[in-house]
Amino acid sequence: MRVLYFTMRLNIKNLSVEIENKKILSSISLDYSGNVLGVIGPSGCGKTTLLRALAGLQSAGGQIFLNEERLDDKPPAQRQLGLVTQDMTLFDHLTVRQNIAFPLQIRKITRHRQNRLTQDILRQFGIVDLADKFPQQISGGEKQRAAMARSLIYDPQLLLLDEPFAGLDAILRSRLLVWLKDRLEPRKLGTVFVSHNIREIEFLADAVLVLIDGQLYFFGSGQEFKNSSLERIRELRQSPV
Amino acid sequence: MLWASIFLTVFLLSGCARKNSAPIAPADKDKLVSAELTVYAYDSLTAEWGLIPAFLSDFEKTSGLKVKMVKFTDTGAMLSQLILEKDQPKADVVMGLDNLNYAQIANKNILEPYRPVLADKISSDLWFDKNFTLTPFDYGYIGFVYDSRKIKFAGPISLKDLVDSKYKDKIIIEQAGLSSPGTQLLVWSKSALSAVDYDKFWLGMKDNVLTVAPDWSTAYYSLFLQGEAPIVLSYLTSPAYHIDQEKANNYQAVPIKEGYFRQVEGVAVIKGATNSNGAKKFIDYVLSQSVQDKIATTQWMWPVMPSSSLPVAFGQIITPTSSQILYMDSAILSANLDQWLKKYNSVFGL
Amino acid sequence: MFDLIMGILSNLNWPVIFARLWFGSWESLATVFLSLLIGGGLALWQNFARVKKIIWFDIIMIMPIFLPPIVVGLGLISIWGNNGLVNQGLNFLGLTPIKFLYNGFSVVLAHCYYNIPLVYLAISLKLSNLHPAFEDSAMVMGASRLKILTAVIWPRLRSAVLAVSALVFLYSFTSFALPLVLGGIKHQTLEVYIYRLFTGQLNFASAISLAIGQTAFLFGLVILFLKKMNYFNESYVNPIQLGIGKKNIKLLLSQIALAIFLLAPLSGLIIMGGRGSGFEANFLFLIRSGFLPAFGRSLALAGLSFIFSILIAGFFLFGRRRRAFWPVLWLSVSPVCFGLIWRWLIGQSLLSAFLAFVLISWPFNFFLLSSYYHSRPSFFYDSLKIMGANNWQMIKATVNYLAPALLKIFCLHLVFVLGDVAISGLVTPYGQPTVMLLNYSLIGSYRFGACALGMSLVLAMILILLLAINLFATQAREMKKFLLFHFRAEE
Repeated sequence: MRVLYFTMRLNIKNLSVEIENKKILSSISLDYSGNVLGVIGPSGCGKTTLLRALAGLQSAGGQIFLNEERLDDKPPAQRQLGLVTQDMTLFDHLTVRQNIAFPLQIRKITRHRQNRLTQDILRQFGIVDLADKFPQQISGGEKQRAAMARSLIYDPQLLLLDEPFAGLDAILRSRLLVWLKDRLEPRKLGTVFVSHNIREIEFLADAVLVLIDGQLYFFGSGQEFKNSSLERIRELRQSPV
Repeated sequence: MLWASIFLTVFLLSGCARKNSAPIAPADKDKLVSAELTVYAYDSLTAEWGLIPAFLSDFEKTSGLKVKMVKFTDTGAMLSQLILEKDQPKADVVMGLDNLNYAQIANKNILEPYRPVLADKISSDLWFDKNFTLTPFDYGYIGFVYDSRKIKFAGPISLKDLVDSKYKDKIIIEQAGLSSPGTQLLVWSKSALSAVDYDKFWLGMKDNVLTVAPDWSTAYYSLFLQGEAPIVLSYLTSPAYHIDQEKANNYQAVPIKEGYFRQVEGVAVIKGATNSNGAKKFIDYVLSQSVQDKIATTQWMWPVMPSSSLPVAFGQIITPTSSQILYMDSAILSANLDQWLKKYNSVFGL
Repeated sequence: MFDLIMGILSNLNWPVIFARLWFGSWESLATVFLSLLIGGGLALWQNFARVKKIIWFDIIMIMPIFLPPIVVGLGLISIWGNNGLVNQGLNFLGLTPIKFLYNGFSVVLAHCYYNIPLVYLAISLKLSNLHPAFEDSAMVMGASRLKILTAVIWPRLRSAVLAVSALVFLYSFTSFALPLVLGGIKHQTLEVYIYRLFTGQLNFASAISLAIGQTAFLFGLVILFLKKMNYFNESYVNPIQLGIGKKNIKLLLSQIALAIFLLAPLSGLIIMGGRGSGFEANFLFLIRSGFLPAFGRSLALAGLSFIFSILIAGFFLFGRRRRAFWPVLWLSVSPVCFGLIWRWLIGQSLLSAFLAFVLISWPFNFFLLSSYYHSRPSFFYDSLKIMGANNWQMIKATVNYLAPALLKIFCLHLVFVLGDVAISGLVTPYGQPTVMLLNYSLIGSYRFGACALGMSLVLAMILILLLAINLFATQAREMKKFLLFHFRAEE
């Protein structure tokens, strides 16, 4: 399904991250307009660090603009982003419903409206029957859906997905991929999707960023990525996963 | 279950640490002259540079006895232990009880009278009673020591003058009932002042003192020497240490018109002791010249033997004459000390 | 029996008991509050700032927790006393000196001196085991620091806060020496009254009755409090390479201020060490007094008693359903009563000292260990079982996991034993004192300078040992990483 409009413009200028004198990201610059930016690379290449820098959880040099608005000078709480990691990080002491309602409590939305919005999203994500369960009582796939619901309930301007399907079986992953795509498109929500699985990237993303050793190795459209004959991209393509 | 096991283990192990307290037949007691002697003493006496370490190895060589020393944090704890063990005493000798402690246990039948060999050489007014229940080995006088750099006394003052407002927050005393000098002050004021002045004295002291310390070490070392207050309740001999060891003359005793109360420390045989012969040898040894000569520079008190050597500094401090020494009959002490402590506690809200 | 009990009860001075209870309760609560505010607050700030831990600061925080009251009392007097540094400064500026000490608030100050570091240690130890990924998620969702603290961190931190609050309350309520030294005659705990009944009035029945009553009161109070404790197994999250936060100058200045507050009183001792005959003469005097053998004795006692103390704490941690019951009961027991009865039953010997150090330290070790243990990931043991680990391997893995907590506890135990005067005074045999007791005993012989120098030397040696242990632990971890890395590379 081809996207006919752009939901976000992400402009990154010389983004660098150094941790304990080790360069994790080196001067990443890109100008992206589209819906889903896929980020791929071997383990330890800086994919998660890039996402954390976008979220403001990692101090970084350089500038980040989202939809013409500067992002890097704002603390994480003010960036209005959504983040879903492979660990889901649902709060164990809260039920699924309470987890999903958590961002609404912060925004001082009335209790009545909180309940309504929470119920709506539970239905959209097909997890109404899990509402009163704790994260320890539900499966990995269900946790993933709950985490997504929590990240989307407060209408973030950008959704960051850090290997959200890691640890799930292949069938469940492919189902969730389709399910995710169906939910992202109507929301017109810009997404940065990190994965080490090339097929997931090719399925979801309309542009791909390849990182190797913290440096920008490739940035182009999905089609350019598919047709690329660069060595490292061929290696990624040949990996059995 | 575990709790019971731990307790049982501790009890069994305590057998390793405790002296065998099975009673020994009188006929066998003589054989124990060459055996062990258990001595109870408070910790200053047993500390590294205290009196007992200064003579103990010599005593063991001379007597052939092996001394087991049990130390106590204070004489109160020592008294409690003696009373608890009364029926099966573990100690043979107790050293360091003073006249006030004696008053507390005089009628408890814990000590066995013994007339030491050198008893005649000790001044009669130093003895606790006529039965030689407790043998004196040193004595001192409670007094107020002051720092002459911070406060001056033109001449002798009355004890009751210390409640004057000019001394507010300038005096540190020890707590009676908890500390020996503190209790001694209680008795000193009782013997020095009339009943009315005594009440006024304590009501005045309550508001005048900077603080009441739990023991002499805290009062003297942690508070007085830190400069918290220029006057502290201590001993008339305290300045002698500073003169002798630090060549400092600024610490002096306040001359008190009414006189000074004498604290006498004694050593005694425990009734029912396993090694009472050894205990008697110990007492005799404590009165020997070699031990008495050490008292001034370890205890910083006066030895009971008049011929003992004293540091030069002892000649530069207040030494009460016989007319300046205040007495309290031990029977009166015995009968009233508890009452006086209760009243003292009520004045201080304790 | 009833008449006996009534007789004992009527002998007690009830207005005094209630006054002591009141004082003990409010000063303990004030200490808990201030210690949580400053110690806990600093630990949380450090956690939020994500700054790298400073080893020297952690060591300074370990030091005061078990220092003997004589050292702390002397130190606080040298700073806050009428002739202390602060008042000397005020005098110099022409201002009226302030009487900071010899009142109820100075007792709180002294207790806070001990307990701010204790709370900091307990909470920072727990926080080190809480993965920041949860805070990150909340932050991204827009939560403020306060919201993160209340909604994300507090549910996972609660058990540690409750446990350490209970500890602080018990320690403050049953405190003996410091309220006497710094609070003056009116501000004494019930513990002192019990002691006076025992040794001053020789009234054993009343003393024991009151001690039992105090134990029951404290035990009941703390158990009610601890009912709110529920242990929380952490979800496993993939470790990410955490970016260490930017240097936080305000945090660093606060740490330095707290370090000065804790160290300054101890520096007064060093100055006193030259008193009298001078440093050199005092030092030689100390050596002749048997300082080195006493230090060796204390080290040996510390090492051995630590092992057994941890074994007992471990037994209660892993073996019993009602985990907090026994340690709380043990901590509620009147220390005075325990000491006097212990000495009567067990006597004085090195074995007695060893047992006393074991039995007194294990509840504290239990609380620190359990707080850390219960924040392990929920799949910890399941993973080990699935991998086929036998019992010995499970134990090794558990010890490995608990290593950071064990290290901290060992450091604390070292300070406790090396710095102890009270227990040693009661149970060590003649001629075999521990090192701090040896120093303290010099006061009775008027050897003040040597006493102060000895105490300073012990504190300096403790600092050096703590630094060495922590550096060694860090190097061992680095070495382990190095070895693992090379091992993998060779594969």
